[in-house]
Amino acid sequence: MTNPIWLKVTDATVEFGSSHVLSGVSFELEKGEIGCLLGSSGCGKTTLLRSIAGFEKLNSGEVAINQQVLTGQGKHVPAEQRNVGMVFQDYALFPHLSVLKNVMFGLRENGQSKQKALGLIERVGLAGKENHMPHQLSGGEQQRVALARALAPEPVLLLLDEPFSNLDVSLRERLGHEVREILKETNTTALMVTHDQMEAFAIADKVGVMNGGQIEQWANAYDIYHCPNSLFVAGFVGQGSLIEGKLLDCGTVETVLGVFKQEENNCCAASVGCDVGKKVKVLLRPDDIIHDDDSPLQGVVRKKSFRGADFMYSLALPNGELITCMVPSHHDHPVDEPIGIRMEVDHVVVFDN
Amino acid sequence: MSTSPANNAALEDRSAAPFEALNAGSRAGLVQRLLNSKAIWPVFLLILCLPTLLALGSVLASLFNLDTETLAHLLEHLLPAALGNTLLLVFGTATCSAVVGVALAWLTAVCDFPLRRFFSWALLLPMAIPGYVMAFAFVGLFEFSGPVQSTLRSWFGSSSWFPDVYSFGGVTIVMSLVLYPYVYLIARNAFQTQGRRSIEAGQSLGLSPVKSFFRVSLPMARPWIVAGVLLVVMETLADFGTVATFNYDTLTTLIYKSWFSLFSLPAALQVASVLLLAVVVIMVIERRSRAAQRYSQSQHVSLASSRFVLSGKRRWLAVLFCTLVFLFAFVMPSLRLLSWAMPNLVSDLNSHFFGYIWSTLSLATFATALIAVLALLLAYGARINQSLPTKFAVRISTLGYALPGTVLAIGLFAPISMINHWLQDAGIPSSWLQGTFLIMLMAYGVRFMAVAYSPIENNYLRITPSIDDAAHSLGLTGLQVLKRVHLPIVRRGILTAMVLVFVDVMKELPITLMTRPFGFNTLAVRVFELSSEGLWQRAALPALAIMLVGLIPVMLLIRKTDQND
Repeated sequence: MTNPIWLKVTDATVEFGSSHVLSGVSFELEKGEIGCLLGSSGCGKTTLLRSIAGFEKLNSGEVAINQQVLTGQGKHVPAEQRNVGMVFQDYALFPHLSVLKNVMFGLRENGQSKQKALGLIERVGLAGKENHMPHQLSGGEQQRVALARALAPEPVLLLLDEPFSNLDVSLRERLGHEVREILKETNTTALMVTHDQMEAFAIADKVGVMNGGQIEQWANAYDIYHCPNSLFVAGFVGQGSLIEGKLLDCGTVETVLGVFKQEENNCCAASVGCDVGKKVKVLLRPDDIIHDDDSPLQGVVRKKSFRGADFMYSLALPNGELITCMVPSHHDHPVDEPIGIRMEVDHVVVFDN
Repeated sequence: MSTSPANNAALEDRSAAPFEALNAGSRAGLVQRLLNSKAIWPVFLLILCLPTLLALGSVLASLFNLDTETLAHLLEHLLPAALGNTLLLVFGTATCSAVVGVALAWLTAVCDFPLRRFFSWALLLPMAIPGYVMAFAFVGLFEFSGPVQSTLRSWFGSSSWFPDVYSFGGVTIVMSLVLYPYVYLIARNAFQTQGRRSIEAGQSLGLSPVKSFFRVSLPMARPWIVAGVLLVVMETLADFGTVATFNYDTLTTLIYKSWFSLFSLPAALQVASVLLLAVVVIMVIERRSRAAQRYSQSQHVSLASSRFVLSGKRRWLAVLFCTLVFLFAFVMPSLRLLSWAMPNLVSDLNSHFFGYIWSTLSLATFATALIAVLALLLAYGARINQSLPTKFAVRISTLGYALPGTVLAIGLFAPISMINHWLQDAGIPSSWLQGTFLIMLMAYGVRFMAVAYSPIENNYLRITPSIDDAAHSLGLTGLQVLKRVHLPIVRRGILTAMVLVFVDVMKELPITLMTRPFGFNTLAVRVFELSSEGLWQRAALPALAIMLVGLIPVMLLIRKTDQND
């Protein structure tokens, strides 16, 4: 028995004048799941988050938590009555209050609250800093206080608005894992908004790639990466290249690099279709192409990019098409030299021409 | 690497540059050497600080030379009342302007209602009206023989129930209307930085927007509000013209009376020392709160969040509130002055009037030029010379803004007159000391140096040391750097400084009143003299002239704050 549906957004629409910021967005989160809305600026993700928080109204559509309608059907519950916690992008800590007072802010004034707050402060790794003022803390520490403060009232839903965008890159990954751990421990349902796919992949159970006010795909990170359902998602997430192909049979496509057949239980099963003879574009991820010196199939190195553990090679095929290939960084081949490659396409993704 | 002939030519030019720079640099080096010189710079600093130190010194020294007879009279009859009145006035004005200023700031910074944009800048206009002008406009309107009470009498038979305008209430209301813009301006800044974010943070933790305001927004803005209120307190302590018009006796009027009516300079100095004590206390509080302001600054600029759109009753209450304040603080006084001045406008624009204009303008221009040049030199030098004496000198010379005009006038008059007597006794000609503009200009320098220094220093802060280094690395000499880099950037600050000092000198009353050479009258003095005798109508035209000039910096301010909106 799966978890109950906890957050349900149905057909959310927000219009400012003539522009549609959100056009009929729908998705669901189960209790204890962490969701993430991924997209570049202007795609509407922050507006969607603020609507769920109750700071913005919807022109049409519905927001419900635990089957209670908060927005829609003619009503709009004000933000302060929703018990929906929020971690703001700029943390919005109260600068005139200490860390402890900040964390206790949403709780009733009693001894129990203080213990609870202290416990949370310890959990986020700031034990001993309860009496510090916000300006005495680093960015990462402030963010943790913001998290503790939002979690203290045990919200039914936690919203995070680009929580790591103001931090160093090295700090982001570590904090991201810590945040996920804390959320899972407390079984808190959470929804995050970010433009950084690494964050989204590291933290979230479900990712929604947004574009132009709509969610193009709502799935877990693995499925989004290996089986993107649109060219936008394929281009936005991860790297890759598109080459020409032709459908030979159901689930089978022929390309310059060989014939690829779709596995049965694959998430991309629906992608290929049966339109024999149709010309398509085939998506190749860098990890679909393996470097093999013994392979007769070859590509000429046009560009190379050293990334520490691996090289990202841009290879030119005999017919002129370019593909990206990820190679362990011991294999340092010079530019304009041909290298052998072997195809391991477990997920076949095609798009119409 | 390929080098073209053009590149080669450029390289040659560059290589010749250092030698040219050395030659030209010796000229700039001279300016530099001047500023760094062990002899000239400290002397300059001393000259700048001297008036302030003299004034403070003579006020404090008076405590050792008690004029017991006059002092006894003062202590028994006049000082307690004056002190009590001053404290009451300060308390009342601070409270009223705080409430009005904060409310207006919140409404215009974070909320949205009809005419909000208009009120955002219009509520600053009262800053153009000096206190003593607003005072006689109000008194003229609401006194017994004024139009309001006369109309009431014609409707109801008697107006004895109407509150007496010559009262604590009257002067407090007028002072609050004059000074609320200080709180309004500063608090608005604070609220704009927080924006809606602070309320939303409170909401996400379960507080309604109203509760959020009191538990989050207000405490967050407190350091700024305190700064604004302290400014109001300082201006109230220093005020002379307004309270004198209301016949409301405070420490400043007592200083004036002790000197001009009781003819006791020592007694006046001693009253001045009491006032000085109050000022010092306020300044200490101000310093503490400025430290608090630093930590309260949010480290991330709030992303543009939308405003609270007021609806229903609230929106019309907001409009009503703003309208009332604007009406009483700007529209009514202006209309009253215009209605007095208009009937005889043509005949009043006579040679007398233009004589006052000429005196005022020439005085203001001269004082402005002098103070601006000094401030510029101080700022430029302080940038190069970061030594302790320099920093100390800057602090001292920009202290004077807090010192009330009456205190300065008395504080400078005493030592100068003493020096005058010494010189006379020694047979050295000294007529250049007293009866001239010397004391007045010295007092202006003390009071307004900070006004000029602040915008210039502000601009200079934008020129980081690395900008200077970059200019030098590209071949510019010291003098060229001054011309091509510093001056264009600081030019705006210099202009602002000049406008502010010019208008402040034009509006200034106590110093001018107490230290002017015999027979010299500015517009401000004229207004005061006429209004003290109840000749409201004749005072209206010069008052309007001052107001018009006073609008200039207000317009500049409005434009600057509009850019930030």
